[in-house]
Amino acid sequence: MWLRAAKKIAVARRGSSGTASDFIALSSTCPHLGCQVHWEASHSRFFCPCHNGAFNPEGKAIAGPPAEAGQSLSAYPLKIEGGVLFIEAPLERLDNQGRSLAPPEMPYAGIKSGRFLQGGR
Amino acid sequence: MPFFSLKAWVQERLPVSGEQLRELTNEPVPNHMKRWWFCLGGTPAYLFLVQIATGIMLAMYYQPAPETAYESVRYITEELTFGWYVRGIHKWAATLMIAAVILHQMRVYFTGAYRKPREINWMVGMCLLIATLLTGFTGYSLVYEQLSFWGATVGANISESVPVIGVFLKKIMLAGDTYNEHTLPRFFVLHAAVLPVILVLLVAVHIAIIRVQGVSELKFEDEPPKGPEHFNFFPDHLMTELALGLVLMIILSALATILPVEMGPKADPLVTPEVIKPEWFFYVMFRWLKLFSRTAAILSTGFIVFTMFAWPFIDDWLRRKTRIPEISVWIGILGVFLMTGLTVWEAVVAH
Repeated sequence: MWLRAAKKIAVARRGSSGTASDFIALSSTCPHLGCQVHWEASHSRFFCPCHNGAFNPEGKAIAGPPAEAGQSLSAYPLKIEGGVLFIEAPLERLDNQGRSLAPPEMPYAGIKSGRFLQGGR
Repeated sequence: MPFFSLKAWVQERLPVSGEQLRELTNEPVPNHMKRWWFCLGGTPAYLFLVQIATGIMLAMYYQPAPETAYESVRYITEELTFGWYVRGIHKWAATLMIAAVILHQMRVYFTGAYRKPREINWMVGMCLLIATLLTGFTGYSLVYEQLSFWGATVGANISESVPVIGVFLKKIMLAGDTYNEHTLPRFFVLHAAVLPVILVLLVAVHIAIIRVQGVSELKFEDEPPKGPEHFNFFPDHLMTELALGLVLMIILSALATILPVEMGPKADPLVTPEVIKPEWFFYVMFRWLKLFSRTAAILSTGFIVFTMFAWPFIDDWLRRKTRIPEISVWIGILGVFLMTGLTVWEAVVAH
């Protein structure tokens, strides 16, 4: 099957306050030229193998062409409902601040991220 | 029907005599073209013919869809009788063709053969260089390896950064906003139909202009001062080109056998491999993109390409301004060192 516009999202837990702000969901698509970044635990950074872009755990560019241009990994809005973490993953593109670039009438296309992320309550 | 009457029958309808044909092909060729490095213009033309022949054979088995492309290339490479050889020749001839185009352009540049009245043909040559690079790019995008997918993605995003028409350009290239099931057929049509036709037309114009203007003549110190200054295109120069073609075919066969073309990992839209590089002829651009921000890298590349296009006029202006007759040679040496340096740098490091 062809994965049309498939997206990989990195989700991390940063706190235990019981709110959605405990979590962060970052797009794996490098804002430079669209390659997929991966997490480098040894350097605590996301790294893009195409043109050496590097991002801190918050998604902010710290090295390479994205840092020079001030580009960050897109962050997806999160919410917790009934102990389940939801990632608002619109089918259209997000800008650097996670704002949708599509018209507002675009349907909300949240996906259930899975019960393994449940917690914090 | 006896042969002589057939000849009369044809000649009655096509009144072209052997004498006229000989006259048409017998362009006097200046003596310096007996030296092989002045035949570098004919080399990419010969290799282009090899690409057409092998490309037709590959197109009979290649299937341009994300679900089938990789498997069809694997079938050609691993199962089809002599498929490995035809694909190997196609890949190595592409590499040599681009190398030959670059060497030919360097020869033209350093001998000042682009100067008045040959400015237009220099610009046609620049179009040929760009069309050749685009054919190479769309070619390796067809295999649907990791390199094919990420190369196309990066290439499309580069086009998006072009001012004004960028977004439109990316959409046209990918048949949508992102890589999708319609992208590969589009690349295939560009690679196997649109770009080859553009190349054929440009080569025809390039050669027609050479025939109109004649090859720029060079004198060497070891030439006898009072010998004949030209020799015949047919058969003398054609023989040189054919001999060169034979040598190239041997080199291509050797390369396709000793360094056979292999299958890289299949494209995965969710994972960019840890080490990824384009084909060698884009190493310069790839390193350039690592050194500067996207906008700076793309605008400077556009500026460099424009400078190359307009070089005959810039050179003329520079020579009048600085009164240094060899200024283009010094700038050329600098440019070649820079490009070689960036290529080697990209080749030796992982990132």
